[in-house]
Amino acid sequence: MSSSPAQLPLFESLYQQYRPMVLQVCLGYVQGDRDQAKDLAQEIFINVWRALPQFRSEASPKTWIYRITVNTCLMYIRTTRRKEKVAQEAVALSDQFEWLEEGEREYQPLYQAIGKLPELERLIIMMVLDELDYEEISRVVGINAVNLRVRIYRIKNKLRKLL
Amino acid sequence: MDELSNQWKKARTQLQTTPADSSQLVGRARQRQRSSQYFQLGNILVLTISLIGVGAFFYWLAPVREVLSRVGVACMLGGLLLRIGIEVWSIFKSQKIQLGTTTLQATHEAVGYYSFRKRIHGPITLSIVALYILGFYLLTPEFSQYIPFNWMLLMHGSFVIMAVFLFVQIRKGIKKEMQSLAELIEIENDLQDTATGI
Repeated sequence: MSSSPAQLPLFESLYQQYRPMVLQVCLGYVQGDRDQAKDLAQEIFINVWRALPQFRSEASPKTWIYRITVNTCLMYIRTTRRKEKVAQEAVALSDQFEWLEEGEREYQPLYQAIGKLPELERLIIMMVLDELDYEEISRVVGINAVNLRVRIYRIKNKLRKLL
Repeated sequence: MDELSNQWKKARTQLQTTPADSSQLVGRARQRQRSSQYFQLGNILVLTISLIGVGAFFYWLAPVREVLSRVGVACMLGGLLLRIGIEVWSIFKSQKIQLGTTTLQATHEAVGYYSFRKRIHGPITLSIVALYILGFYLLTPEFSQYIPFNWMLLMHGSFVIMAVFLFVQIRKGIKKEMQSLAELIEIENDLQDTATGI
């Protein structure tokens, strides 16, 4: 099933609302590499568009976007190994994801520290930094909130050591 | 941690991008979806044309008479048919990976998909290649009655070169997919360990 033109307004609203959030997660995931982050963010919104027909209001839009973001990030390295074409497309669309480079440079150490964590931990800690509560993170990753709490405690300690 | 969280929020303000037109992205998504479908269907189409071509060749151009040769033709066509079936099933499996589900579920489905590919690349691909090679050599006795020795030599030589080329290409693809599988299994195990409180 593919998205229909009737879903354009919903996509437009999700895109404008969550673009900075997605872009920031991508930056953390790829250790602050701007080109890769833009490429990945583009891939995520393409997946959001494609998955739109399956979007039910059972999950909040933010949780749903986070799910697609986390899953795309985890699949990204695997699929781009085979699709060098993606990088060319990202260059063509890079103006969609322009931002203030001067200010962003100041936060590079944070993105790089996050990027040194294992893939899954990177994504979990970014949700923590974004102040998602344990229940919400649990709905994204599919792990019981109680068990997740222990894991997050360990990730936080790792990140502190890296900074 | 609060300090880090504040830093994170401040960092996001630097990412307040200028309003962008999402229609360009939608256009790209549609184009990507189309090319992905064309690619998948293209594979099936190439295999189907090969099947029809080989079938037509043995039916109209070079109808074989001996039982051994007929078994050979059946092996070749059977292998191709099996391959087409697997391609169709593979598309179905890949579409089962839903990115809007939880990480645990999506990873589980992705591992399932790559494990399926692993099975295909292993015994199934080997069986298909073996069937094709066997079919080709079963045709040799009858063919050698009508085709001069030099031509037979050329035919076998080119068959071996093609087989080696195909083997190298398939091996490259397998290595990449198996690496992806290993990494995804690691992530899935990590998630399951967390889920069980290890």
